[in-house]
Amino acid sequence: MNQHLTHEQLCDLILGDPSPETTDHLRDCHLCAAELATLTQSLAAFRSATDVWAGREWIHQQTRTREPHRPASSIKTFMFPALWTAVAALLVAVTLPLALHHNAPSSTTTTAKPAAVATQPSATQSDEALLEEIDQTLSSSIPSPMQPLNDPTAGRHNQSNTQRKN
Amino acid sequence: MSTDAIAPNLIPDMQPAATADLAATPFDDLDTIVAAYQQRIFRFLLASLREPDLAHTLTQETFLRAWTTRFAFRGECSIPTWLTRIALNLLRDHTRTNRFRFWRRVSSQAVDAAELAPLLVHPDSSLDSRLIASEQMTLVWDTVGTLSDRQRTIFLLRFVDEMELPEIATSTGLPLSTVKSHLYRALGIIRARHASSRKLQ
Repeated sequence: MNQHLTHEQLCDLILGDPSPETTDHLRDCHLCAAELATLTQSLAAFRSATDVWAGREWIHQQTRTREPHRPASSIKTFMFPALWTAVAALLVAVTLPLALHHNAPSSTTTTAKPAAVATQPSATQSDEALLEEIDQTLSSSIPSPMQPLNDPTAGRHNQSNTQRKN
Repeated sequence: MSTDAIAPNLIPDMQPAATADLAATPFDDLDTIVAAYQQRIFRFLLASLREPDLAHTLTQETFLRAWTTRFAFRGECSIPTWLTRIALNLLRDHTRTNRFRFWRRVSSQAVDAAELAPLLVHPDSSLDSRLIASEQMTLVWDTVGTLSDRQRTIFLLRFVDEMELPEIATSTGLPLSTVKSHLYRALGIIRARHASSRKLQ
């Protein structure tokens, strides 16, 4: 028996362009004939299923299109701005009350502020006095409890002065 | 079927004054063209995209573009070939510009071959033959999904639209030899899948 058909020869048979020798071979070779039959059947099944599916989808699309009587593309082009406007409106609707709500308590804090401001001068005064005191204690080289020891004669001077007076 | 099916508001109004000087084209009678070829274009786009809504939109756009570019039609090819060329351009533009979104959407909405199996028309309705046909269809369906864009297009034009090879060459703008070699390769993949499924059985 001759060699089996090449892939190209088999394809030519499927594509409807066979040479006379391939047709002759096919008559004698059951293996190649079976292979060709399987491929042809598969392709026919694929075509048939696609055809029926497309037919059904076509009818489905037509009924859908006729209902609103507007093409899918124009619906999309219409829907996009409308969608964004709706989203923007929703955002405003949500954020506006929140912003207003935030503003309301802040007015009470502003009314409370003058009181806080009014208390500030006295606070600053006491702070200044405290700082001054600290400065004084730091500037003096001898602590106040040790002050009498700094000048031991100071007490005597005072005593002699009182004696002279007497 | 009439032009209603392709959304009349998409078709620009004819301006007699402007078009009077130009030669008449077959697309002037759009109703007839639409009635004859709309379903065919839809089937091809559906088989390519596997998404009905998108296929429908692109079908509408195909006829809209055919209308707007009707004066460029010189009758050098047949009307279905011209329409197929327009559909192919739209398909390519769409998948190119929206490649990521397209494949994400297709993968989420992809039609399973199992859903199509019951659609098979069987003259012989024995259970065995139905099962065999279903398996064969599934095998081809799955294989077509794995083909390259160009291979898939050529395969579908030949085996779904049943276009002749020179027509496919004209529609795709490819040499006849290239069209043939793409078909050989696609059929080679299908044969290999057949062979491996036979081994598994």
